[in-house]
Amino acid sequence: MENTQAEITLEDLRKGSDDLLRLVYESNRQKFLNYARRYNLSEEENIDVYQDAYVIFYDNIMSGKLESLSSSISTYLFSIGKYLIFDKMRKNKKVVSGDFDLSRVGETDELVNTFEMEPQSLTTEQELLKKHFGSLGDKCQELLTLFYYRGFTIQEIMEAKNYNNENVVKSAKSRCMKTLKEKIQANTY
Amino acid sequence: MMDKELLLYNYFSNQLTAEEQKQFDDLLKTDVEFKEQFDFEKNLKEVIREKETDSLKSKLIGFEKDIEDTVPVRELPKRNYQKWAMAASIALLVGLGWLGYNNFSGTDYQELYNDNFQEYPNTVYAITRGTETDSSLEREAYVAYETDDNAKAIQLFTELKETYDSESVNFYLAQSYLKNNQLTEANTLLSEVLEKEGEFAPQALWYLSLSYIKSKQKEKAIKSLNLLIADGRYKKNEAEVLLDELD
Repeated sequence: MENTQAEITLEDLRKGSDDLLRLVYESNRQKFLNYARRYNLSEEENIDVYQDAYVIFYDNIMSGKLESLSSSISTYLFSIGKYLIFDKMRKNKKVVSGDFDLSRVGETDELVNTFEMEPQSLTTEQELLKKHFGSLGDKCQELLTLFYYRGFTIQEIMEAKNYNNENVVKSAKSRCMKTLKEKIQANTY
Repeated sequence: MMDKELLLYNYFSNQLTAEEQKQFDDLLKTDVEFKEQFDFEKNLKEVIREKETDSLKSKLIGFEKDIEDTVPVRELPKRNYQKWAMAASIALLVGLGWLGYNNFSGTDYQELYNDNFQEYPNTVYAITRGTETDSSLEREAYVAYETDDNAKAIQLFTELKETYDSESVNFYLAQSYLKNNQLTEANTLLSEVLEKEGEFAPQALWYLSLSYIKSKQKEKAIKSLNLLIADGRYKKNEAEVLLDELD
């Protein structure tokens, strides 16, 4: 497992195939749960934390906050997980037995201190946008997701999705945006 | 001056040079239209991020479930009578416990409901838009809804329903009833929404299922969850998980 992980690059993660997602999930899970057990949360809570840490890790790759892997994937997951556990305990006002220093609560490791840990919930306007985005055709959703979420350039989209040239991608993107705006205008009263 | 569209493009693909960044910041301050377009794209980015995050989360839940399903049963060494005896008595205890649990306590419906109920966000009416000049009934109703003033929301949505009987009014009135623990009223309205087969239909199914769970109507809950899964547009994974727990 260690070896397979060492070869996973940021690029692979960005492509985000389901197989890779599963591989990374499964190969770090047990280690993480063993580590988390010392904090006296329930097993279910530990699994929740692991999943949240995983999502945050991924999200920060996609948003470009993590530009290169300077450490192993598990180190990132542990650092985020530790932050989440402390945060959870602080929120639960859980009395903690054991010997770790509570002054470290909320403190994040150097490695992840630029990460966004708690994404804001959507505003009313964004909820509306979400609804209409969901009603766009699959092609449009995919194209806009590649651009706005995965950070693909127009050229990368062209290559990945076999468009003929960049102009085709550009005009497809503007058409999608136009449709989206029209849907919103039609719905707002 | 660089093309505005290109500036936005470079911003969202993380390729602004320092000089472009300066132009970009200036435009944000001076050009209203540019700012609007930027806000729109930024909101879109956030919306897509949330959507992708949700879908990643449900994938992880799926991975986890697969792991639980395939955890191998540990083989005990043979010829070790004591361990066998211990295992047997544990198995007996677990078995008895399970029987007892199954027969006497059954599914904890209230807990299932609490774990799954989350009020549906107001996606219909942008409260900030009209500011204070807009004192329409509709606005007040959604304000009451968003601030969890359930009794007031029920009153206002009911008034609104008299003149403006729409799918969304019915849906949010039903939500307010659910939040106020008036299940019968909520169910009637949710069924109405469902019959319209409009945009809130799958959401209505989800909340109807939860309402049935809360009132321990297991068969009805199972039926509507199955419909929701077949529909596939909303909370499909959650519905599957719930269905598992009910069975």
